[in-house]
Amino acid sequence: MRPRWLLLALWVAGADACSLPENDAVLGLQKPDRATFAQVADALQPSCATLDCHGQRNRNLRLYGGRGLRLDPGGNSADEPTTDGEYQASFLSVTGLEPEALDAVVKSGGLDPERLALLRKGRGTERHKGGTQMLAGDPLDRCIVSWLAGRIDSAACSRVAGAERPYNNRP
Amino acid sequence: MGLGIIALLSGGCEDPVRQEQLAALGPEAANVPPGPLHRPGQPCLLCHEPMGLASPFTVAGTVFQTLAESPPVGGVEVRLIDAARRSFVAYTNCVGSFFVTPSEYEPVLPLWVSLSGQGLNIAMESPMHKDGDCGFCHQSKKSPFSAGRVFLSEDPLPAEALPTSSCTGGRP
Repeated sequence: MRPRWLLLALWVAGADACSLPENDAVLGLQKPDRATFAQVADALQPSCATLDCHGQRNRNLRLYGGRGLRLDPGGNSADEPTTDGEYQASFLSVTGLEPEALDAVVKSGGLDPERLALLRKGRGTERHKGGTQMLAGDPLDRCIVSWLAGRIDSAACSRVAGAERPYNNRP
Repeated sequence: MGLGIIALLSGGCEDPVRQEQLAALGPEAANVPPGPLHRPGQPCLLCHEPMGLASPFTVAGTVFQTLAESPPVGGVEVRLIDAARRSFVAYTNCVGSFFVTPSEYEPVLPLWVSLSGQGLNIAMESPMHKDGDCGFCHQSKKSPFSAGRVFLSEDPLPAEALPTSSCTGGRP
């Protein structure tokens, strides 16, 4: 093969590798319930969506929230609660990470949720810079897993969002 | 050629985000050498991390009088309590900065922080999860990725009411 043909073949292969998947590839994939996601997002806010963790623009899993990264360029991380637009942006981020695996988990009614990096990293069973943020069966874990299963455990989600602050006890 | 490949690989391992953050810190202020008084308000752990350019800290930051434009405040009690319920108290120095070394306290994250000084108490709403770098999230201005500076009081305080500290740090 002459060099210029080789270069052309490499360019075509490279262009193909960098191209986006066809929309058809993600159409029809099932996602967890959008309507109840706000409860999950609020539960994720204190431990996952802070500015020093996934409340950063550089993260693959980018989470927005009232006390984290704001969607509005004029917003800030100290005032105003999470907006609908921010819940939607976080929903797209969470559900867009591994759409096929998420589809499989949702279609199986939440079985084996550790098929998702979200669970593996959160539980610390896969390397995670933020360490272990939840254990199987604790409130945050129940909140996420129940949402994936289509039967959200609102009490578990609320319990995370309103967790006790140990600094109330003077050291 | 071998050297070239090594140089290329080591260059490829630089974290461009971190490099950008370090570059954004700018140069040292004139007449303030590197030490306890330099770079108040900046994200200390960018350099003072275990693999960093300077001696490591586990927690560090700067406290200002108020959220708005105001000077830093010394002598503030910084109370830390970690996920293992182990606590530590640090005090801000005369430029409002405090720092904790690994030999003093190595918190199990998340870490909760509250401040006290001159009868005032203020507690951080959410704990720190990644590390103890206050300035990373608390930049000088509020923004979509900053909660604004760390402050002791919602309202301006008269000068005589403010805690003070010598420039050596520690309890006033």
